Amino acid sequence: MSYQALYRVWRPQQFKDVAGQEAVTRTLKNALSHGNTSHAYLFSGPRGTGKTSAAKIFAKAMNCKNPKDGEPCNECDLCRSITQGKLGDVIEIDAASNNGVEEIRDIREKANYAPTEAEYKVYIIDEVHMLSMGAFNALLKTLEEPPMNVVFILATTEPHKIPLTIISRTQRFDFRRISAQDIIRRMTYILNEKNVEFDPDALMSIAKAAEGGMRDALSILDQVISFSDGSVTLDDTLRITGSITQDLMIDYISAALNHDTEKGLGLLHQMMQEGKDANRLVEDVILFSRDILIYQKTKDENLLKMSKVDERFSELTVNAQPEKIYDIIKIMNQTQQEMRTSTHAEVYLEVATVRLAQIKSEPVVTTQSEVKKDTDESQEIQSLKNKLKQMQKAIEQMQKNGSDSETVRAPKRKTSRKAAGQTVFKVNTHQVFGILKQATRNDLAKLKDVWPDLINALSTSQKAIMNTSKPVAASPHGLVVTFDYDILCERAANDTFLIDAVGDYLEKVIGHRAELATVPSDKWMDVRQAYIDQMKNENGNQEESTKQEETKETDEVDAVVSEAVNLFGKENVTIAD
Amino acid sequence: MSTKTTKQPEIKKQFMKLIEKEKVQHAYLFEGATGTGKTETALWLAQSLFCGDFSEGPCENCHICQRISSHQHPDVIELAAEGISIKINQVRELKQEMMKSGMEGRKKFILVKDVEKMTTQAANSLLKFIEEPEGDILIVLTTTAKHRLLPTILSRVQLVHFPRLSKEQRVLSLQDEGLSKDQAAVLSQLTSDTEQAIELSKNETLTSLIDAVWKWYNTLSKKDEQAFVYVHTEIMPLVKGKAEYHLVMDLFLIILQDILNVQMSKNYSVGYLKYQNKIRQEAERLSVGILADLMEIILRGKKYLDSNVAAQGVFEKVTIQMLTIMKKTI
Repeated sequence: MSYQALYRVWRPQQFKDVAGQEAVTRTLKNALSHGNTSHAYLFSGPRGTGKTSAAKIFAKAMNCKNPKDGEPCNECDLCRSITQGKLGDVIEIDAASNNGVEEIRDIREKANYAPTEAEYKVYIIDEVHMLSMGAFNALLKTLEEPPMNVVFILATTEPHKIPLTIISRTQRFDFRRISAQDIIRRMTYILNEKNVEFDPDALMSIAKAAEGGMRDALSILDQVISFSDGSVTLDDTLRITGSITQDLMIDYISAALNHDTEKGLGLLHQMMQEGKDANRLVEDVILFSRDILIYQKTKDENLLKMSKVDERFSELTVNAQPEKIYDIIKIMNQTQQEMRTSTHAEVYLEVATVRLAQIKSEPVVTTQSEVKKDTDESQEIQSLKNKLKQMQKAIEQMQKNGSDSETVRAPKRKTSRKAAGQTVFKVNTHQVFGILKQATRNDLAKLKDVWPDLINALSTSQKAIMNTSKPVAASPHGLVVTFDYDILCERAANDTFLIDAVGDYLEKVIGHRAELATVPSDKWMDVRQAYIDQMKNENGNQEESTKQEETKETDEVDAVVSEAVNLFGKENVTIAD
Repeated sequence: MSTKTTKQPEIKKQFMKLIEKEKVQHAYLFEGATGTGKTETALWLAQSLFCGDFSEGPCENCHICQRISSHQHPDVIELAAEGISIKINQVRELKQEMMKSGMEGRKKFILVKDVEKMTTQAANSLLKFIEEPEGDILIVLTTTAKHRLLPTILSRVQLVHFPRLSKEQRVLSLQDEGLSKDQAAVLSQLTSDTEQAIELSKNETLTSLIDAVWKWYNTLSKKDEQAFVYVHTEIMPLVKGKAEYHLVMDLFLIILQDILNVQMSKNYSVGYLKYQNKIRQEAERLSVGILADLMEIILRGKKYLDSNVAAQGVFEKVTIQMLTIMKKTI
């Protein structure tokens, strides 16, 4: 429409305006001022780095009647008509739409005619990588030895698609990505010319989003200006680039580092709801993590790609462990790759967020497997114990009844299973009774208060175990916890890491460590009753007697069981403790 | 494509401001998920530019506005994929057309839908054109997959992101269309496009599929080996064709997402509304890590489906993998 985009209005018209390509522009200028121009050039480089602009300036400088040190004057008729694209001797061709042999033949034919107005006939072939193979080959001979006063400038973003035979016939100039500083300088210049107020931070974030393309930068700038009524603010910029504020990013990364899955997912949903681009988010997390690493090592603010050093950032870098950051980068990288081919970006991000929050768990993961091993072993022990108990009961029965083994077997199994369950906390009865002896209502109330927080503070795998737990009794130095499932009870009792974690937390919150005793909830009433009974008649020596019986019987059974006796013996020792 | 609902009022307001200030650029890219109102907004923009009676938006009543909304206006040119892609010939024709000035005025408006479907040649040949179009031309490109566009295209346009309507909004609009609450909840998760959702809701297999997938999940969650057989007996007879295979996976994903998010925030609006209580129970039981594992399995399954692995094989593989994980749970 009548309004012209910034990148069109501010297209550089002189070599010195082409930002960030000093090496290229100086070479071209020198060649021009010494009259050493070649007949074929290839300009390659990423989008928005000034290839087409440089080609046009070059065409002007070649034809300009009063050039100054290789720069065009931009005032003479020729310069002006080239700028307006009206001069018949400077021909800009879109190779992407005219990519056939036919079009190239046409060029070849017309190249034979001498220029009409200007001194040189300049063919600017843009997007030259789209030429067909036949077209490239048709161009070869002309490109090598064009007629007098004909210059070819090929421009492309994808030089690898160009045949070597073409490249070898041209002088090749590689345009580099424009550094953020250069982009900012140029934008500042433009904004000052336009009398627009701006926030330097906003320019920084535009420059970062532009990824080295000046046209991208100016497009975004244009959008920001029109979005925000003629001033450039950071908020508007972030909204348009779809980037996230540093604060939000720090929140997200901290949530990941603190294993706060809930907060991480909450933030993620918030960002998605605001319409942030999933791909950009992943990229930002990776870049931000990179910045953390770099800042940790160098403390050099200039090396940072997207973050600004402020209080929270430096605090984060001090506290973050590099290993965790590596893991974040690794996970995000993988997510990025997978997201590329999928439409489920949000699900991938959710998964990634969960994974991020679990990173630290690595030591815990190993303990988990250890725990599993433990439980495997203890299960084995358990089954052996069961056998023992079975036999023991059988013998007891035999001793008592002296007969009818068939009828005994059925109840025997049931009792044995119960016994198996009991053995888990029989180990603990001593401990439980010890705690119960000193238990007070006050301690219990205190614990009940902190219990949900405690579960939240645990790592996920531990949380899974502790989720159904309830404190039922507490003394100043111990607590009894019930579990809904026997297996959880057993796991919790065997997981020294878990017990340590609970201890640590309690130490922090209520000021002292507490011994943890576990009981399945359905057994709790029994245990309590047993305790009350025991208190009534202080003679809890039955255990010992059964123990003696066991050892007697085990003498008679086979090798497997004798091994179990060893194990069982150990268990007994702990009970005796 | 009538403007019955005003999706994206924010974006429209923004454009209104631009039109008033005469700062409309020459090329825009509307990017956002399906059903976020991209085409609708583009046509609205065309009306705003052409309508003689412009104040507070186009009148939508005059001859011009109506011709635009019924795709009849000669100076509003729409380009969409022929078959699976937009081909270079279409772009060439378009450019030919653009050499001429407008039929009725000087202005021209071009709408290219789903630019990501352009072939490489077509996209490249558009480059020079959208950088510096000659004359009074406004080009609007729409896409659902921005990352599949050429960076050279992206750098030449102004990007307008169309945020997805919030889930609550979508559920409400679906309910307005006469869907039941349960259906609206699932469908709003399945797609953000209201029209597509309504289309899906007419599909009878979907209803039975929603339940079938839930049962599938349930057998899995019970660590029941029958889940493997279930795929063959219950799921496979219901589905036919790639789109429906993906639907199965998507529904499963919704269950998992529900469980995960319920765990995280109590007032998350569940997709599987019918089974809300059971989902809350599952949320108590399964750890986030396990859920993430399950989700990854499904996502991988979807990739297999994409590369044309037989659906039953994929489902079965997924089942076995999930069973092994479920077995590790309590």
